[in-house]
Amino acid sequence: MKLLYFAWVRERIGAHEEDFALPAGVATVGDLIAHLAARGDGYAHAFADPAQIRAAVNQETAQPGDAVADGDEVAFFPPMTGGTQGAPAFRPPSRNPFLSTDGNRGVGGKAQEWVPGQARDASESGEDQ
Amino acid sequence: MTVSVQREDFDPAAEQAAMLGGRVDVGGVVSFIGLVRDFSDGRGVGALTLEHYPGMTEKMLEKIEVEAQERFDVQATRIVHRYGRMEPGERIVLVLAASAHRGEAFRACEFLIDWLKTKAPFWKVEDTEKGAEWVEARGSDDDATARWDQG
Repeated sequence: MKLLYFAWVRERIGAHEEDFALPAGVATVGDLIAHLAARGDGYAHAFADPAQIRAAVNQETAQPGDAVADGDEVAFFPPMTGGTQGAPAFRPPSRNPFLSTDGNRGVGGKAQEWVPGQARDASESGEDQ
Repeated sequence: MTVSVQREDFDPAAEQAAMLGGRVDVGGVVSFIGLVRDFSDGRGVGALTLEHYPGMTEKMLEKIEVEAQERFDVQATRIVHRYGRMEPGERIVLVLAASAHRGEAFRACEFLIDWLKTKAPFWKVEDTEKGAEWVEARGSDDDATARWDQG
């Protein structure tokens, strides 16, 4: 399989891409993270905080329980930050799929109904576009 | 309904004209243009460098467009997202939504930029006084995305 690393995951590991033979017993994205972290050095550093790691299998967003197979392209990276700039107004407690216990998509949290023209809450005001 | 991921700058007027292709049944176009600004989280920021995942980026942007077409009565949409190094004041991203009615165009445009920020594989490095720093994901961006998940 092909492994790809982006942003600070790439920097910590020191490589953008590598060919990788899937070891026996590694069946899911979560297994693969644990296996890679155990390689030590840059890998251990990159995967030290699973809360900050996102994954994709064959260019589709993947969750820790998703299966991986030889021939797959698996990518690891930090949470995405496209669009315009902005630093976190607050750090969400546990909106991370790798910490979720119910296997849901990790977009839970305090979703709020949006009404056109209504003022946003304080956490969103005075920030970026 | 197209997406582009490119290093070069874009011309919003030219992009709008190309998207409409001369059609005259469009009531309005709402555009969002994201710019590099010179501050972030109270600190001064110099240049910004965007990294992305070629292949997956285009796929995710196309999915986001399809989702917008399904949710809103839009006639055309367009996303242009740049990568590479950009100075303050430069354009980063363009989102266009065309509809017969302005309400749908506004909502579709906002939906597209909200979803793009948390679902498209882009990562930013900012040049700050303390050196180059990776930009962390925002909780409020996840919230902005999640509100659309409610229906």
